[in-house]
Amino acid sequence: MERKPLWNPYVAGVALGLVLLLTFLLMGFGLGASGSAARLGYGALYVAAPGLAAKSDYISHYVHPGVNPLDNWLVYLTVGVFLGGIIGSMTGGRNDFGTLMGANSDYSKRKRLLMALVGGVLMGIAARFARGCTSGQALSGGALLSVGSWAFMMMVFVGGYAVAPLVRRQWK
Amino acid sequence: MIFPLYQLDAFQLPTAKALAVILGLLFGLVLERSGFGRAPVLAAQFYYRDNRVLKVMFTSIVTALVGLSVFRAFGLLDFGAMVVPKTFLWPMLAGGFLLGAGFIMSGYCPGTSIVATASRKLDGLMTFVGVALGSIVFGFAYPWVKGFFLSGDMGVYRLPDLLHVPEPVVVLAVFVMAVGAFVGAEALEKKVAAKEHAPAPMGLRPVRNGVFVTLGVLTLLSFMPPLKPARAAGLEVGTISPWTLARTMVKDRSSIEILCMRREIPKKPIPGAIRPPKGMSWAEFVSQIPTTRTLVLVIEKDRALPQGLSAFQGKIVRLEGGYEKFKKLFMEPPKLEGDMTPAKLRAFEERNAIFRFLTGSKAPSAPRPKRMPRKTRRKLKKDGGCG
Repeated sequence: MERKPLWNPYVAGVALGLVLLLTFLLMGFGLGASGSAARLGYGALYVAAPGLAAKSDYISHYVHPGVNPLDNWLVYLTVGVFLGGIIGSMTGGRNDFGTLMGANSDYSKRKRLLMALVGGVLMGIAARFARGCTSGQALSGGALLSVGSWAFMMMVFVGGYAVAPLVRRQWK
Repeated sequence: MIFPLYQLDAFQLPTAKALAVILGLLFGLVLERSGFGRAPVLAAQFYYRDNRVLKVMFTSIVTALVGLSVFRAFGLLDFGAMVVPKTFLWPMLAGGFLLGAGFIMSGYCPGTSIVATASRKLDGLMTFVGVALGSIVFGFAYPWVKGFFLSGDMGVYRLPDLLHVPEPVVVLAVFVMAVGAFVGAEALEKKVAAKEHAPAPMGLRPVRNGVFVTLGVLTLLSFMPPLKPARAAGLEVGTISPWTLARTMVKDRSSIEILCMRREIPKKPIPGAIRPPKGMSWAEFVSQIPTTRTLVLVIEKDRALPQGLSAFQGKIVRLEGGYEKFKKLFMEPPKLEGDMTPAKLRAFEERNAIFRFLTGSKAPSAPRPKRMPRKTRRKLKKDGGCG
């Protein structure tokens, strides 16, 4: 399928802002993503090794007998994001199997995937400390003018720009 | 109809969950069309080539922010019912930096990795798995990092509170800052493109300008005085028990504002209670209080509330039993009774601790040499005295 062009970033921004506004008006809180990743992780750990999961009080808070960590608003939201991603990429001609990196990158596929995993682990830890990620804190908390969310958002850019030179070859 | 619907009990959890799928679907669709399902598009932000991330993110924040203030201005939004994320400054600063680092390594943030996975990108899936693994790592490290995790607790703390300026001014400042950032970002893109002999990622100028003008006009709308306060049922307020108030005063002082509304001002008022200076109306006074706080009214039992209070858009509660009951419970040293059941003893000890916290004075010691946990003692020492 022919690849459709991306939206003008300002139009996309307004569209994203309207989705966020609709969420605020309906629910009284904003969007989020890292919380559901954590819940999926905790749920998987509990199924694979319940004894190990019980060793952590923090994880036990999310998952213990009689409590399903996946029966949560954020997890339902993530199901929607996944569906929206499928519909968007199918209709936009961007749904094909692959691994993405810079066009002139000299990274092997394996190295790129390892980098994605390590970056993901860092973000998983970071999002727990910050009580949210770019969706829950920067976007939602930012629009509610929370001081902590703005501090977080500024530091995301600082961290990104600081580490970018070290992984330049991945995105050449 | 007053928003936000769910927080104001307009529908229940099952409906909320169904709505979550629909809202998520829209969220995912827009992220995909923004190009955020593709790591190179996101990573370009950090090499000054294409500031798409900044443009989409800031435009969406301004859109939602301005939208909320317009709904507020028309009296359609009860902002006091909104759930504003609390600020824990240090872990949020550190978490932001670490998340930025992980972002440029993986090429995604947690949300966009879901969209990438849905677009059948293996690196997106690996990132999402990484986020889940990182959350597990945090779970096991929690006992060691708990102190830092809970540090810098400032409660619900918003930019208007920090800067001491009215909310619309902050909204305007955010809008101006965003436009400034966009102009700067586009100039930078041009420069980098010239250096790399590549075309700069130019959007459609008329579209961009149209978006700016529309948002700018709406921003100015938020300066409009509210058409009507968003309080559907007039001045019906809830109540708060003296015990709940006292505990909140110890633990979460910044979440409440105590208003002394009695005709006769007591010699020893509740610590930290405020009232308008002479000549200022209640309406003017309460409209300066951040709406994220709950107003606790200390007022004689039978007296009606002044209408001016309806200018406050946040939550209002009335102190049960008024000043007298609160004073008797927590502003006078508790007395020991002859036979204390364990429950009575616990209540005595709590009253004692609260009394000391509120008055900063020595109270009779507990009947047996049982010391409070170190944390409580430290907190009492630090915060002791009248507000």
